[in-house]
Amino acid sequence: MRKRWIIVAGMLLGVLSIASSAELVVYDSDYWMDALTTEQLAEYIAKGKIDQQTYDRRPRRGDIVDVKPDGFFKDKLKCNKGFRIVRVTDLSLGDAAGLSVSSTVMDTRFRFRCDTATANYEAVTTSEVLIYDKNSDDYVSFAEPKEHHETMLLASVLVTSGLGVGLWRWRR
Amino acid sequence: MKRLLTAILFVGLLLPALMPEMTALRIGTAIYAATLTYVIDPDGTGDYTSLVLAEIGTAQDLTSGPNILRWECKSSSGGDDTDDVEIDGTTTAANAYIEIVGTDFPADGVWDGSKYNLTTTDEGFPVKIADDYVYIDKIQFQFVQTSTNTSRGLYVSSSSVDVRISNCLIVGSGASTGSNRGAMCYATNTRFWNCVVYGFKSGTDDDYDGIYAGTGAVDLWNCTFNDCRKGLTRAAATTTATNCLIFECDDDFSGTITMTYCASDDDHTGDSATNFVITQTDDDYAALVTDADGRDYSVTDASSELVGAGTDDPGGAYQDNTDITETARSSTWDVGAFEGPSGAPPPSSIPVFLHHYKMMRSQVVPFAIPSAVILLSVILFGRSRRCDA
Repeated sequence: MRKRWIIVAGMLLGVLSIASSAELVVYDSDYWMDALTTEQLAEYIAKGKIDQQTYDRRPRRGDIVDVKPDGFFKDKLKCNKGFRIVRVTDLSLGDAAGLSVSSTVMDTRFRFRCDTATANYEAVTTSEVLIYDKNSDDYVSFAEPKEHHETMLLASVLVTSGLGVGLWRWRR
Repeated sequence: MKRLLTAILFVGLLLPALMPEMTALRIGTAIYAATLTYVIDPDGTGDYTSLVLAEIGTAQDLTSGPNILRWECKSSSGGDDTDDVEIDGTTTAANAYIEIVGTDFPADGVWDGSKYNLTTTDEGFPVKIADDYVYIDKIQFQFVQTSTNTSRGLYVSSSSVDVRISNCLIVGSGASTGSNRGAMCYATNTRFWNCVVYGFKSGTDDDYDGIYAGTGAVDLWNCTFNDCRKGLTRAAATTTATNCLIFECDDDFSGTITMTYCASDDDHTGDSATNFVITQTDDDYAALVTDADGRDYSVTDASSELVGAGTDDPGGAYQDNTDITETARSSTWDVGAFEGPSGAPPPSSIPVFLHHYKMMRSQVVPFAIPSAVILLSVILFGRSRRCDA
């Protein structure tokens, strides 16, 4: 009896580890400063209305500005005009947190850019989403989280399969 | 005489055109039509689910039109706003500013987690204000710190000109070996009134302050501080505190602060004879405030030392004539964020009117003078013509 519970718990753990996902809030609009011409920008800066740093750090279409757990925005899709919710089904909240705003790095507040066009609240996987460093345009991707997840996924599958086989043999 | 009046009329008509800012003000006196309002509700019934998304989604150049950008915050089902926010994308001016207003703020002025609150566990700059003219009213803030984290709370940047924080709860919790501050002020002018600040304490860590006055000018009127390592700390700002209640902090006032009509359990009567030392300390200050441990800092009753111990209207045009619960202040004003039993609740529309009136008064008056000149000229000129006839 005790053995059976251990097996069931193991299988549940395996399933739960596969089911981790996060919702990314992606800026999907043109920022008002984008429309400024070079001359207008110079005028704004000269008049002290904005400074160069604020302009350089302005939100851009595709910026990931927030990360929430799976299902957070499900009933709130009428809100947040100008933003798009992207559900990444194989990305944990912890791994996703590094992609969004971090106030400790003020100059790289919007650090990454999501270039994949996906519909609002569409579910995607990490392999379908490209993430770029906003400031340098270097490709960052989900490399580290992906490896982590692939390992977790493989481990989960192995554990679940092993336990399943064990349970099957034990019952026979 | 007629020529003189004509000349006055002419100058009066030309004046707004000669002063572009005042032209904007003239249009701006139709303030309500020019206000852009967006609702923030973490539970999804508003325009945005968090302040940071509203900030990014509605940022614009307010100076091109005399607009007020107003973010009304509420929580329809008790959800918290847990995101950091940086207010740094909107171009503002004295007559074109940002208002952040809580529309479901607790009526009793005591923290209520079921109402809108911005609660963040992030370190760094949870709420950074870098735009010039930002006015925050009736918002509950909570900054939670653990481990070695460092939080600057409401960080008012040196790039700001005029930041006003009124009728807010600013709460610290958790303990870390880093720091936690309710607010850090570096703007040209930062003004607080009717705010309640408590819980910024982690043992004897000196980097815990209720409000930290960095640079610029920091004015506090009728604020209440409790349970902080240091209540109000002055670094290099010109700092004034009037009608403030600060108690149960390891150091109520730190640094050189011009304080008058303030109540403290430290002795600051040497700074001004108008200050006084709280003697109603028994039973957790029960005779002074309703429930200090329960974070209800309302005045206990008419026998509280706070009643009538302040001075009237220290913040002048900036400050509301009501307390944090919208109870009308009555002469002589009480010390702290709450007016005692002698204050009577006003009709609900009056505080709102007074708030807007006071906010706009300094901007409307300059236009009102030429307008009055024009009106007077027309009246006199018209009468003069009739006399001629």
